[in-house]
Amino acid sequence: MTGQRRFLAIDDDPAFLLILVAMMEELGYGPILTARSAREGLEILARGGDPIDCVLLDIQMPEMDGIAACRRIRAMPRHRDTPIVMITTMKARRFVEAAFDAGATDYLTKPLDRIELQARLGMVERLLAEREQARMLAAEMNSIAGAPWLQFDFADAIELRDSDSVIDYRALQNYVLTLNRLKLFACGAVGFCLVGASRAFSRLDRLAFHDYLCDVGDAIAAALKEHRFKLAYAGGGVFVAVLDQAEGFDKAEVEAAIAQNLAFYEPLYRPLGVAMPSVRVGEMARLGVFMGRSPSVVIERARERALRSDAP
Amino acid sequence: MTRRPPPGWQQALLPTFRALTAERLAELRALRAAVRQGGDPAAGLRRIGALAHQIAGTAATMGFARLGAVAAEVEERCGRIPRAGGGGAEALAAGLDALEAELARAAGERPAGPGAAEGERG
Repeated sequence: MTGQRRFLAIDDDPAFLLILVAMMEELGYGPILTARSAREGLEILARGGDPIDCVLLDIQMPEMDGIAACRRIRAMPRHRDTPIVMITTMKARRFVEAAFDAGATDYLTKPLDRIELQARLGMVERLLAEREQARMLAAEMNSIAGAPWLQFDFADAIELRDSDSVIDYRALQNYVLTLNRLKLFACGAVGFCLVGASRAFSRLDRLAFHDYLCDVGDAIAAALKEHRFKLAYAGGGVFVAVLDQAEGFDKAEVEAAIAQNLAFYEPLYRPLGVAMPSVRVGEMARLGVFMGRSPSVVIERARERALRSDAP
Repeated sequence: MTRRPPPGWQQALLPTFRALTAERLAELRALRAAVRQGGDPAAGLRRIGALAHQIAGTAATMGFARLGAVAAEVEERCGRIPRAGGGGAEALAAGLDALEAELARAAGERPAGPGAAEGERG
């Protein structure tokens, strides 16, 4: 199946492109298009014809860097969901954060390790396969034409498309994996449980529930404005934020700020007969040196703690 | 100890990589000569830093770990000198000498030294 995906690798170094293409072809991937600058890559992506399934993007390039290019790609309607894997020598936290803020799906560091590349491309393949399955399911159900992303269950970690504050849950997991690989350990994860979310899910249609989650995500993001963070919806009425500093987080203060921010939406929800959203904040889980090869456990831990905070 | 043979893609790319490395070595030597002859040191430093950045990103993947490490160090020093107001020039010069030597080895100009890492080609 991997042979059917079309990749675009953008890097100003011809030697790196040669190596990357050779490694990927040996792993069974292809065809792989290449571009020697962000501008050339953007031109290829803007063209009609066969779509690109995944972009592999360097950060440090002359003229336009990979972070700016990533933003430009995300602004293209046909590529708002296309997996973008940054492949770079930049190992500092600010580059990792800027990449995920710009919409990167994953982050790999040079020099390339074949096993790591295989694992990350496997993740891309699974992501693309899941999306295809969701599209096929939507087509079969023949409902909500043109919006297959609105086919989801309550437990699903859906992407909140109308919120600038919330990134995709898989990107959040990859962000934590990247921090762990680069030994950038100071961060912590906090879960936010939306009280009565399952009731809202059963009362609202999918689009309204998606919008409801966007409002809650924006309220949580505004309450975290004193922190540097990445926030994602983990499904089941729970959001998870990864904060770049575990210190200085005041759970009660943040919970109160979220309640205050959500009060803004009361005039919208009351006429719909939907209960005002309320959010419980869980205890922080810290990313540490003992997380080993499964650092995403810190996200799961934060999620569980948030659910516990809502238990009677 | 038996050396593990390099993967097929690496063997296939080696001649191209050596040729590219020889080009980079020539460029590095030309840049250093230009600066010595009164060229703009800031522009020279930027280009050397960019060159070192590219070398650091590929060398280890091709089996030249030491070249990659030396290039990463040179890249870091190139970034540090403007912030240090020109300080660290001697350390950079030593780093550039080491980078030239490693590039020459990788390009096939010189055999690997006795300290070459396991699995590293000369």
